[in-house]
Parts: sequence; C-alpha cells; structure tokens
Amino acid sequence: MARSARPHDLPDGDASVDALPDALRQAISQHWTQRVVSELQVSRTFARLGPWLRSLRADATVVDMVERAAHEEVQHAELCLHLAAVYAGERPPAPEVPFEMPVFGFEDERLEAAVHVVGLCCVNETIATAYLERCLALATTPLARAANRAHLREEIDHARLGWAHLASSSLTPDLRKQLAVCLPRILAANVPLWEQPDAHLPVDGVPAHGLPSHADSAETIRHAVRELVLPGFRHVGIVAG
Amino acid sequence: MTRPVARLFHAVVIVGASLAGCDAGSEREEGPTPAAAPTSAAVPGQPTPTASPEATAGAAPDTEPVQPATARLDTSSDGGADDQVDAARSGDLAADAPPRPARSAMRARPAPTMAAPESPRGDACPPGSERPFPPCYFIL
Repeated sequence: MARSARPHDLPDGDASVDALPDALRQAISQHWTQRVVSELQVSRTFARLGPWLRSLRADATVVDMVERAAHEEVQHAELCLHLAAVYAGERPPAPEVPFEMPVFGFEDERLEAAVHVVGLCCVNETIATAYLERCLALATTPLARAANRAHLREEIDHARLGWAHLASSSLTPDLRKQLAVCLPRILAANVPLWEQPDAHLPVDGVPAHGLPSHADSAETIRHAVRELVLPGFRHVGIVAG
Repeated sequence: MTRPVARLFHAVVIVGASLAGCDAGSEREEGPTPAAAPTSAAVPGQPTPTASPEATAGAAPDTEPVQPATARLDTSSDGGADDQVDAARSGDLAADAPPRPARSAMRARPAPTMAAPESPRGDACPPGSERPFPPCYFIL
C-alpha cells in the first residue's frame, strides 16, 4: 500500500485497491497520472485568465473565483497524483505538463476572454461536474468516493464562475450576441474531447473505483450538454445562432 | 441521473448567474453554497435553485487559505447539444502521456491540441465560413 501526501484528507490506502490485479492497478494509476497533467493545464489557464479578466474590469467576485480556481486545480492535481501513487503502489514522478494557451483570434479582447470563459468554465467545467457526479455515484470504494466528492465540490465553483461572468454586467448585449454566434464552434471544439475513449482504462471502466465505462461516460456527457450546458446558455440569454 | 443533474444545473447555472455582487470568500467559508435567487440577468420564470446533495453533503469546503502546491508539483513551466455534440474531433498530445500498458483492452485516446487559428480573425463569426476553434483544456 503506497504512502504519500494526503491532499484533501484522502485515505492513504484502500484494501479494495490492494485486491485489484496488478495490471489494472497500473492502468488506473496511469489514468490518474494523466489527470495530473489535465488538472495542471486547467490551472495554468485559470492563472492566465485571472489577471486578464481583472484588467478587463470583470466582476471582482468572478476574478477572485478564477484566481482561487487556479490554486484549487493544483490541489486537484495533488489529489490525482495521490491516487496514482496508491494504485501504483509507489509515488510516480510528476509528469511533464505541455501547455499552450488557446487562441481564438478575436481582436476584441473582451470577446476573446469571454470565449475562454465559456469554453473552460461553462462547457468543460460544467460537463466535469456531471462527469464527477457520475463517478461519485458509481464509486463504492472509500478512496474513490472521497476523491470524487472532494473534486466535485470545487469543480462546481469553477463552472459557476463562468455562468456568473456571462450573467454579469461585464458582458454587453453586443458581446452576448457575438458569443451566441460563436457558441456552436465552442461546443464543437470542446464537447467531443470528453467522448473519446480513455487511453488507459478498460472499455468497461472500473465502476466501483469511480471510473465509468466508456459508454456510460459518453452518455453522461451528452446528457450534461442537453440538460446543463445548453439550458445554461439559454438561462443567461445566449442562444446558439 | 436526470434528477441529480437537474439539481446540479440549478446549483451551477442559476446560482452562478446570481453571483455578481456576492461575497464568494465568505460563502466558501460558511460551507455548502446556499440557493440564491436569480438576478435580473437571469431568465424570468426559472425555478429557485437547490444545491446538489452529492456535491455538498457532509464535507464543507476547506476553510484554510488556498496555497499552490508548487513544492510538490511543477506548475511553473510553460511550453509555451444534440447535433452539436457530435461535431469536430481534435489532434494529439499523446507524446507527453505516460507509457501505455500492454493490454489489449487499453485504447488510444487522442488529446487536444491548442493550435491557434491562422486566419481570418474570428471577430465577425460569419456562420458557416469560420475556422474551428481550438479546444480549451479539460480535466480528463
């Protein structure tokens, strides 16, 4: 049983992990190691967005939440690395984190920043809340339940800050119209990524450990888009053109 | 999962739309986020939200100041519905992914690329004629 730092007060081991076949433990560890990379990439995006939104005079509450999110995503990466260590039986080295800020190509900085917020928070972090909720619902092992609960608790705020930005007075009616026109492209760029098979996990997932099957995960994503994301945009007055 | 997701929708979207002017810091330290009434920016007639019980039950959010864990994880280096759901796919970050296990059940998963659109700039967003957007990062 691996010993490592315990972010979010997670258990430092789990008998149900010890009972898994070695190959599956290694596969799950690699899944979590890849999640380390993802969390740090999201963290860096939030870290760039914070001062940018502040310079654009975005709502102070939203900016504060963005800056906090940058730190929380690092903690999520720690959480993922902890799980990778528990499943592998030893703490893996911190992975390389390739990062390049997406560029959408708008001259209007307010629109460029708003598209970042929409893609990162209103689409991806909102889908993440549904995905994590599904992971939590499936998980029966103590470690997986604790990890997904801790992650979901903060991910909700990361989605929420995006919706708050869209609803704030920082967005002019003209910006809302432009976002509505761009919304199909934003969805097309981001949603399919969630539906791709995991590189490391069996196609049936490992549900008891909070890892849905590919089919279950894809259905969760589609449902989230229909029932969360698109209604959310309608709620803040942005309807896809 | 319809009902939990519906609750989550209220928690994320409607409460999010109500946040402008709220004190997020004090909200965080007091525990689970309470339901909030929609602001004038919200669509009239939407129901009052309730937070997802799975998301908030049991554990209140951390009350300690958030500290980046850079001592343990390197975060400093920069390398620089419906029908719409089935749209574009993107490229490959797999060069930086950890080695894959030699199992027939393991499958390749392309990861997003962050290539910027070359031209034209996206300001006009004319429907049907624009280049695809690059994806944003996400947690999987």
